[in-house]
Amino acid sequence: MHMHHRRQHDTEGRLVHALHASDPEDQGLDTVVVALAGQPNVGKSTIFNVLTGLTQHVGNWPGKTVEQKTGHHLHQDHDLLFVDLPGTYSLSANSVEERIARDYIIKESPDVVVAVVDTAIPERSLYLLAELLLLPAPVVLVMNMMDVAEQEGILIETKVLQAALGIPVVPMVATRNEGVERMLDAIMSIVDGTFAYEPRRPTILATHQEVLAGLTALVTDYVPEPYPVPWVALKLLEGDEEIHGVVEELVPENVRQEIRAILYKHEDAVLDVAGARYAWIGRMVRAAVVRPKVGQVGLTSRLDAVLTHPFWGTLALLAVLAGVFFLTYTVAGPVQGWLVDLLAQFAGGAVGRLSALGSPAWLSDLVADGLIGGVGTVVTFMPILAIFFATLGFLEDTGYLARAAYVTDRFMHMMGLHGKSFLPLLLGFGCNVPAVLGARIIESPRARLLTILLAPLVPCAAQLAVVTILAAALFGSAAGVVVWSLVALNLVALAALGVVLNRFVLKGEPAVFIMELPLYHLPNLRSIGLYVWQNILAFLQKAGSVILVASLVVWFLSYFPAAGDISQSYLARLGRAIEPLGQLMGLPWPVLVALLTSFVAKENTIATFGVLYGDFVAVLPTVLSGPGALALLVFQMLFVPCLATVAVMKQESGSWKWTAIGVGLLLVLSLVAGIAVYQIGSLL
Amino acid sequence: MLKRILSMMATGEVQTQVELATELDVPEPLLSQMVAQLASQGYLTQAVMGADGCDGCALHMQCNPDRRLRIWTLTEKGQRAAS
Repeated sequence: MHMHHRRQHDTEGRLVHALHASDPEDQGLDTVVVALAGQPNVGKSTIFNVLTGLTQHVGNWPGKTVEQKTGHHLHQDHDLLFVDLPGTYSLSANSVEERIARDYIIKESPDVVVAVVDTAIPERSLYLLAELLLLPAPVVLVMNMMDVAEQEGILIETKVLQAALGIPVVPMVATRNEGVERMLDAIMSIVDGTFAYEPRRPTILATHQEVLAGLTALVTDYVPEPYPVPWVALKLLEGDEEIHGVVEELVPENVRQEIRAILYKHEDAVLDVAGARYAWIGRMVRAAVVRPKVGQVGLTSRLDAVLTHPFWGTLALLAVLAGVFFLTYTVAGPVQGWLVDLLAQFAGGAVGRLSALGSPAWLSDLVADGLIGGVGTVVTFMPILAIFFATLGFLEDTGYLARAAYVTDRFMHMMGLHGKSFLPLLLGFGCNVPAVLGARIIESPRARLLTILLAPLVPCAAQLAVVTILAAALFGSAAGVVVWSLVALNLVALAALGVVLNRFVLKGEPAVFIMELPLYHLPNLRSIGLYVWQNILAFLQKAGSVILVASLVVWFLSYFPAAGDISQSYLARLGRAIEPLGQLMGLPWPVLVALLTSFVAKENTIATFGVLYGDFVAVLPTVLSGPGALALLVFQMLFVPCLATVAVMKQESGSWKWTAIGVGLLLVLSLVAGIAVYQIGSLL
Repeated sequence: MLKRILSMMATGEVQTQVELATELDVPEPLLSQMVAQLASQGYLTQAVMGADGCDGCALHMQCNPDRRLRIWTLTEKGQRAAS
């Protein structure tokens, strides 16, 4: 293979470079043209700069706005002209860069193509190599960034790879100028024919070889020089739109129709063609790449063996949840107590000042009970939320929450639920509204409906905040266990209802998704801080809008018409009307009314308690028995979703009937569970 | 190999890229690349966490439990190719 020849490269405007007076080409040396190919960020430019230095010429590729760089290097009395091809991931016609790279190699036919690979992630670059080997120009493979790969514990046996590929393979650290000479020698060994260049190219599956042969036969007479016919046929089979367009223009109508029929019949042939290349890459990597046994990847695999295990992973998830709640109460509980004291002092001061200014009694009452009692009480729970979100943020940042999602999904599968429902339901832990809206991604209408009906059973952030606060007030040190059990209860209820509805509403369909779990890593305090801040801000915005309005409405209903006598108020009349129901759960009417106001927004339960009881943390344990307190929490967790969620349930299901059934089911479920807990608890 | 990814996804045999890579006996980075190619050719699509109408909601920051979790689902074209 002796292709060493003299060239004039600026003919036809293909390689327009203003030659320097000192250019080797002017000194009568033979020129060897070398194209540098590779993905972006593999160090191709570093190699180019090291080699060409001041001889570089920068311009644009003809007719394109993509930068073209060429430059010379003298090696063993040879002038090597390096052409830096645009960075590309493959040689399909997906981008201008890819078209430029392949057009250059085909039309200009360089003496050698150097494929540069990032050794730390060899798989990523080898696809491009698989495509380069299909073109006529011989290829030298440069494994750059060997130092980075070594740091990652990745070892490349370049000699094994060279034997497996049948092309020269050169290890390199371009930033340290290591391996550059060896690369130049390898280029010259191709040019002067001393290297036995016998590339082992990827082949396509037997099922499509016949199809490829058919296409090759059809286009042979029409493919213009210098396009290689087998390559054109293969690109047609791959569905390359540019090549398809070119061929359609060149072939007669009958051939065009035949090609179209073949391609239509084998629409998915690209899966086999590209799949065979990946299989080829897999073989090469297995042969020559030794991956680390320890380190980050190893740690992730070892942790995942436990944390994504069906049994141990579920156990770990429950333990992590328990830890989150425990930490929330032990750290934030005392801070919340101080804030309550502070708020009481502030309320006292505000009322005192208003009285001193001669304001009417109703205004003092509105400020003390309606505003400070309602919104103020909700705001005092900010420390609890801050710790709660900080622990969640920590788990997210380490990469654990993705595993929690995975384990939850397994659990749902075991319960016979639709796999894809998991995605929107997962959103429900933040807010039920996007959970219902997110059900849109499910194609099957019945599965979508089921997901919409189940979404409200996922405890949202607001609901968790409310039960977290109430449990702390009612169960003291046992609050963590209680909330943990309540979350478990909701998930079990969700699964049970899912199984029942699944049997009647929907036949099980398999999951059609895969997850890319991130590696575990040390958390970043800044991103956790940001996460906490954003959530607290969102909470405060809600306290200043929906909760404020609801607090004022509740205060109005509790103050009028009897000028402050709550027992004669509108709210009392409503409460007494439904009190028989409350008695079955051991709940007095103000508690029942507080629960009802959570229909507007979940946090309103707390705001209403603030309006009706003032310091409810002290009062609630005195008006509720143990079973009653538990019934309150169970009822709160299973109760109908908030107004916003109901509105989107109607919007997404398009049916009042199904919205009513969904809400009704939860109402019945919460009542039955609340009554059962109280009645059974009272017997014990 | 790409077709096997689609059919394994369609039957629900695997749920993570790690499992898929193990089943196919390929390194995970290579599998990620295959998944990306399947997505670029319209066989897979990345599930978007969040929904229309969430913009402007004060709580929308809380919705996505892990922003680094990427989930791929089969498109109709992917379903057809898998069967």
